[in-house]
Amino acid sequence: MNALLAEMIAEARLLPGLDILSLPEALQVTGPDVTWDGPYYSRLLAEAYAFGADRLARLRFGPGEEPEAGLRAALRRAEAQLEDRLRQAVLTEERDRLQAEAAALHAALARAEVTLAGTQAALATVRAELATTQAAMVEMAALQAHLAVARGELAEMRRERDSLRAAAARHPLARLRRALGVGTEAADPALPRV
Amino acid sequence: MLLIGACSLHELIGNLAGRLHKSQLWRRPTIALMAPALPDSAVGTLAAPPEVERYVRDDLRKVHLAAIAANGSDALVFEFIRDIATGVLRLGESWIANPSELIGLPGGGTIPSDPSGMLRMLGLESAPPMLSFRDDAFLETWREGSGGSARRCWSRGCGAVAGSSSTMRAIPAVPSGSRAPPGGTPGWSPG
Repeated sequence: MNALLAEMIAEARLLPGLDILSLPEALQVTGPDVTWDGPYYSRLLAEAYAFGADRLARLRFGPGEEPEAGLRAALRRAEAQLEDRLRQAVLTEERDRLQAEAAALHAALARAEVTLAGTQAALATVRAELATTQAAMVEMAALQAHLAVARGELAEMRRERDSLRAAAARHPLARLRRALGVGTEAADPALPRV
Repeated sequence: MLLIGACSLHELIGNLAGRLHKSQLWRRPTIALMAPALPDSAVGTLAAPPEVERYVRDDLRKVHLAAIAANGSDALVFEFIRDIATGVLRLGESWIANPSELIGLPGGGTIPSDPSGMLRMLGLESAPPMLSFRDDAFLETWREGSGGSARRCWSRGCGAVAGSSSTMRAIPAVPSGSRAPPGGTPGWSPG
């Protein structure tokens, strides 16, 4: 293709009143990685277009035109764009770091919430068990009080029984029966056994 | 300033935006540009986006040389990459640009790049002969168009050719957008 272009340009040089504006081939980017969708894997750098525009401006506006002003402007633009990309890269890196930190914090918070929920459930269980135990203790105290009362009543009944037995033993009829030998072979079934 | 070319020229001139008034003929390969006119019946019923249809009709009628002469620009800038990137079709005794290679034509919509799509677009039943820069006959055909036909045309005063510095004169800078959109008017064609 370049050979063909060279022949075409050579042919064009034969035409009158024609200025040839050519660009260095070194400014051409070539290869399958060039990002452009044309039929050929070649493209000029932005600076190369600016270089060509400078040459055209000198042809168009005369020799007083500042040489390569557009190229210098294009280089300054490229430099500014590069700095901007670098700044964006730094910002992106900082943003990614902060996002990672935030994600870690969110994960830790989620874990803590799970742990807290488990602890609260365990605490509720303990509280329920404690309430049950306390209720049982109250019931047990009431039973003990009843038991103490019953024991007191039982002791009173025993004392009364013993008193009645002693009184019965001292009764004249009892002395008579002992003298007669009656009723000594078996206990009186009417008396309670304790 | 009148431009004939594709994206390379478009981008190059974009660096001078605001300093000159410009119009651009999109691609218009030399062989088709310099070929004789054809009747509209040389193609069938066109099934193309409006901008492509206008492009093909103007190409058949070969309206551009007269329009270039009447344009009033004091310089014509053209590039040869358009001849490489845009093949031509043989119709009768003439040539037209291969419309399936008009990549980047503003308003062109989706242009089919396969031969059958191109045939449908032109309403043709059979594929016309094509000529690309890879063909042996390309350079001679191009030479006839750019050299022989161009010389004959220019000798009759058909149009101005890329101005030499001695014939150039300064044009007042035109505020961007006042007469032409930034970067010119790709696809501009008279008529």
